[in-house]
Amino acid sequence: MQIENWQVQEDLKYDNNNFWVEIEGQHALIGLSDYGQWVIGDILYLDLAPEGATIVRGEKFGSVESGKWVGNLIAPVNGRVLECNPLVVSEPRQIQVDPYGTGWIMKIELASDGESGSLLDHMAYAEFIKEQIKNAA
Amino acid sequence: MDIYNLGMVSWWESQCYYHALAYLGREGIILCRPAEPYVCLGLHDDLKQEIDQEFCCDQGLPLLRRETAGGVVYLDSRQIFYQVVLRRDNPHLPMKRDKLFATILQPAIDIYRSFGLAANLALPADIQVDGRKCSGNAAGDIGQAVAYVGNLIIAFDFELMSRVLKVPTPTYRRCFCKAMQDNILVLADKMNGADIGVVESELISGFARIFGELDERSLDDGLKDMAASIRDRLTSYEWLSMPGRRSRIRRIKIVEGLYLQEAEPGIRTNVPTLIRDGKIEDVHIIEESRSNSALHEVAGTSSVSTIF
Repeated sequence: MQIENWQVQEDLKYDNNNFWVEIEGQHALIGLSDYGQWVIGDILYLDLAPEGATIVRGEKFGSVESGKWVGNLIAPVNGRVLECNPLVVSEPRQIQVDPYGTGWIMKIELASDGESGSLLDHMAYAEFIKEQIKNAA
Repeated sequence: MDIYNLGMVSWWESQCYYHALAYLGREGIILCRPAEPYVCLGLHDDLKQEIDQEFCCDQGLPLLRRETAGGVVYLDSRQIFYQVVLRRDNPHLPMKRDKLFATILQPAIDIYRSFGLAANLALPADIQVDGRKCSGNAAGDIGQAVAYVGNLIIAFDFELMSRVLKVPTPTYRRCFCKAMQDNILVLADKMNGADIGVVESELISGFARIFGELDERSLDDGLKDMAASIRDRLTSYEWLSMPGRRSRIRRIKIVEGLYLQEAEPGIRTNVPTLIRDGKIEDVHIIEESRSNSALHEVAGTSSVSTIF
């Protein structure tokens, strides 16, 4: 579905830090939503937790630099890093080219079965974006 | 909003108090100048690639890696720092963080204009006068806050800055120094004898126009203790030597949109190129003697930077 200029993919879960999560069994792919990559702007550099590291929901698992701003990447779920996407590490702008596809950021092993419980479905995330836009106006 | 007009502070204090405010979840504006020179890396700079550590050590220049964006810079008492810390729930803070630079930098822009300089914001965060940078700025999420930091360049040691960075050749270093001299404007020549205290007062008035009445504060124990512990971390070898962004060939940003780039290996050696907005900048043809003992500029207009 489309919210203004941004695509919200319907088969994914989201959080309010603009990450999408695709869960398959005990594994999950994490990436930035279309809206999330727009908010960050032109991504110049990405620093991610290394493979094998534990990430904790709500805590920093990396940082991103765009223009003259550095932001924290906040983990949407608990788990262990299985793989960082080498394409976005070497070419961070790929996140902006294809945020839901080749621009995925990290593959993780989930800490528990209940990790999706705290995430938003696409409808709730679309409402979240609308609220953000309204507050910014 | 609290304001801390600290005047001259030690080199590390000039970076650590705004980090301390951010980690304590306190908002505030800090004005200060470092009493001693030092070298400051951006959060994602790669120490080994960027810095001539031997030179810095020989010169007694301490290093610190800040938690904001931007690149390596040599800093000393001839820059006035302004640092604005806002909690993430502050209604001033836009979704796109870099949008706030236009607001935060207005007091500095107004000061340049008061000296008759046509200063403007060069997106995202430079202040330029006729295409020359006169203020460096950056921002970063720190703790539950966002810090916007920058400086007014009263004067700048271009030569020392060119020595601090690791560069591929002496020729590259000379071109780097000249590119900075050509593209960075220092305020000292334009101040007509005005003193730094006047500039600081104008900055405070400018921030009051943005944030309303400012409460003048002095450093308290909580802030001092937090700053001291942050100093230990931001200057530790482990933190300084964190890997950062690396490039295949040396490319240094001079000002927004302008880069000095090392020659591609195998194409031409020893020929750095100035690239502005993606296009090769017009020219300095610089003839360097075979002995490397002399450098003569022999022409000023051509389409390629050529050194031979």
